[in-house]
Amino acid sequence: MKHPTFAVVGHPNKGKSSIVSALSLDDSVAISNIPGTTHIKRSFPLTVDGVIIYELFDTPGFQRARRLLAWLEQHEVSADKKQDVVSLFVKEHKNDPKFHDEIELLEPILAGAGIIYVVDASKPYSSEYEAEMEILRWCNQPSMALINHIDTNDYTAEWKRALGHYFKLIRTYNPMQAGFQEHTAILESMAHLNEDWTTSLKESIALFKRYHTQMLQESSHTIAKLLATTIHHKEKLSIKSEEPTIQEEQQLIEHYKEKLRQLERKSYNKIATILNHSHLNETIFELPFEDIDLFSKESASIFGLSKKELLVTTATSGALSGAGVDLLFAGHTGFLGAAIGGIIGGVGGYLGFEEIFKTKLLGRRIGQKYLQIGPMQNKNFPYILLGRALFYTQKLLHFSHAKRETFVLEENGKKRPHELSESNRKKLEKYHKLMRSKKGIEEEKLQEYADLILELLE
Amino acid sequence: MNLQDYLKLSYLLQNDPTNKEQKRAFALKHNLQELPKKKQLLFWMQHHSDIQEKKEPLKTITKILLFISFVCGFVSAVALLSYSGAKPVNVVYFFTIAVLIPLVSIFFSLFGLFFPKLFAPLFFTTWMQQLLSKFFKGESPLIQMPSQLKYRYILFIVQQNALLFSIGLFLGFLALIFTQDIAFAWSSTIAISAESFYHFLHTLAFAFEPFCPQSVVSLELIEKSHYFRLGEHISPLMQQNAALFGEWWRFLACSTLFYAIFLRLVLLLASYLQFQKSLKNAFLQTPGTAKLLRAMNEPIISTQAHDQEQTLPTQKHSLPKEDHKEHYYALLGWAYSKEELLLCSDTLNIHADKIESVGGNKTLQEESAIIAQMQESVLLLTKAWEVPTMEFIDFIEDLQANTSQITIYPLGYAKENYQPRVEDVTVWEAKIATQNFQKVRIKV
Repeated sequence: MKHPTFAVVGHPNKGKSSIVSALSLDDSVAISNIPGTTHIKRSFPLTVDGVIIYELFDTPGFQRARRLLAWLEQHEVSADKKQDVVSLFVKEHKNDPKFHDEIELLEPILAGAGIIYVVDASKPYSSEYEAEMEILRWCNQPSMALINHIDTNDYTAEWKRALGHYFKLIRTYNPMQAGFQEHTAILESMAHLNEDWTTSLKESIALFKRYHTQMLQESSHTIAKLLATTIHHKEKLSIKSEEPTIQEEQQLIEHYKEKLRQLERKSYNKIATILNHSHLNETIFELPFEDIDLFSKESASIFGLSKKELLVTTATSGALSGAGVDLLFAGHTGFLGAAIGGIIGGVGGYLGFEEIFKTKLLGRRIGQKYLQIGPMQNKNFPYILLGRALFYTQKLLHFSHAKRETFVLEENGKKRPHELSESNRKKLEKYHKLMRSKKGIEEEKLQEYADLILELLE
Repeated sequence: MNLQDYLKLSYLLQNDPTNKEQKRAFALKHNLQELPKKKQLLFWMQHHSDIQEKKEPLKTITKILLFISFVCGFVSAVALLSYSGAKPVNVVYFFTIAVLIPLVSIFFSLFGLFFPKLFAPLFFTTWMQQLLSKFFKGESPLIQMPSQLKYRYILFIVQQNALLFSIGLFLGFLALIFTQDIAFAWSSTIAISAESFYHFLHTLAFAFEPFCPQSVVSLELIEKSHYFRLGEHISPLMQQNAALFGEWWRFLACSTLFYAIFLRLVLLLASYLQFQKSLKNAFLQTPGTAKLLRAMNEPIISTQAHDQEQTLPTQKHSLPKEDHKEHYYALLGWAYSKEELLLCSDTLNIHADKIESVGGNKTLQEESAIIAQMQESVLLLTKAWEVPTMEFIDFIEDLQANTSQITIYPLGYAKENYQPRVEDVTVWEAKIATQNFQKVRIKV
């Protein structure tokens, strides 16, 4: 059986491309307020392993609807023959440039596509739409009307009254704000258009859910990898004299900072690609957290932990390590190990709160002296980096594929966007410790960390 | 599954040139989704052996080490049992190498085997891991093995070598007792009585006594074979009982067999099982495995268009603006009703001889009739929020034939005093300007 197809049609500039872009999660659709941007119909198939489950067509808007309707009405035929007349029109005007847009939009419908007629309910209803709706009635295909809201005005009631004459199914969908639930709801409505399409569309709903999960998993893995690479990263600088100069130290710190910034940007680009927001990659280098540098105090205060939280987290983590020593001596240490570990961890975290960079002079004995910075020992830094990455990913997850404006992250009045529970902080700290270690984190542990991030993202 | 499989998988994953789609296609072609993960990986490995694998010298190194251990064992036996005929061979030396040292090393290995986290740092395995890092380059899968697997592997290799050493020792021992008539005796600086030594040996023999009772040395033999370092010659008592001293060999053979070989074999088996367990875990945790399994098992879902977007080029044009004009021959309203037009003309103070509604649901014939009546200048009101269609352009084209000037006036909503949004007017201006109409003006 052939897969279901749907043609998204309507008056020019009513948000057809935005709807297709949001429904297909494709940000490559050209969206413009200049009428006639979509010139050629374009297919957006939902494919699974190369098999098409359903297909959406973005089409040009009606340009000469009354002229077309006039042509159709010249043929007095019974209702069952009306579609044949439309086919005849397409056949006769195939090469007529005057009806290029109409042919483009009618072709998929005549090939069996369901009709999704898009209107903009932020503009008042007007009689000029009637010719378009009448033509669609002539096509005799399952159809539904989709009410879009490009602006803030609301004329939904009058639109619903008018659309009710032509369509049995009317739904509201705002591609700029719609989330995954609304997307699913529209697919369910589309499934009702034709009994034969129900199975495919129900399958596609399940697939979209899976796709969503896949994207989340890949994003969380990218974040986990970013954290592991960044924290473990080491930057070296050969020095000539016995002791490093301030300039050499500064140079190394700058290189280190820039490298870490690059790693963050690279991961953000990857996340944007995973979430099908590739167009953002052109601007993303400059824009995310535009005025909040990764190493700024502002970034630490918005995305990092507070001193108190860090003290509790690092003390608990230290105590856990100390408890290992107690266990080794079967508690004969009077749990002194846990107490000392807790104090060392807590004090370490507290004292190093402000200090991000610590350089080491290495190779003194073998004559080849070099300065090294990293792995990152600041205990708050992983939380800052993670906080930023989570915030960025969640913003992007809710950023409509139909939006073409610049992606700007607002930090919610500079308040912390993520509150990590104490138990989550403890879990995270365990992995951060591994990332800071000489050996770094192993694949298995990294996967566990990615699973934890996935929970936070969900 | 062995370590070579693990290393091969690591290497293949590091150097696999296929993309996500190809991996999924491979899984679908061979129906791999039904198989357990481990089998999927093994199947994938088998079918990707065309990737040039870099051979690790691990196998050769292991074999060389085993050979060296065997030779060392054999040589140790020869050295320990070297008999000149002048002095008996002190069995204590042999006990130390064949029983005591194996027992101590087995004891530590057992701890190392069952409490790796607590004991690993204390053992030489850590140093051996570091040694491995010196031999193999950083990117070698051997170095990148999970530390637990590396640890278990080293422990297993150590047991293998210890066993080969013991076998060499035992074979050396057998070779010597077959080829020489060795007189065994015992001697120690520490004052140990023959009774205590007998009890000690009796305890050691608990494991093999039931199977080989004649291997246990008697108290009498122990007493007679006790010798002291002083004196130029062997005591006459020893010389009289020289034939007896050869009896020790059974005990030495059985204790070597049990303590150095059998117990080591058991430990080797235990370390092998532990190593296999770690290997199995590590096999599924090899860097890149999760990605490969995900690629093979997750369906490739795509929602995006395959063809490129084709859009018409847009150019910036501008229309001549109309200055204030008080009277028009006709006031036309595109998709406006007559009532709406009357309200507009009243509100905007527009004076016209004729007021007509065009566009909207007017038929083309009705529209043609209106165009036929037109002359002089015409003011055409449009809804600024609606974009101009080609139907509107056609209408202007027809209207131009009968009029001297057409002024298009895009209006906003009535509730906003017909004030249009600037961006809406820009769209109208841009669209109409593309047509290069000579008589058309825009009123802003």
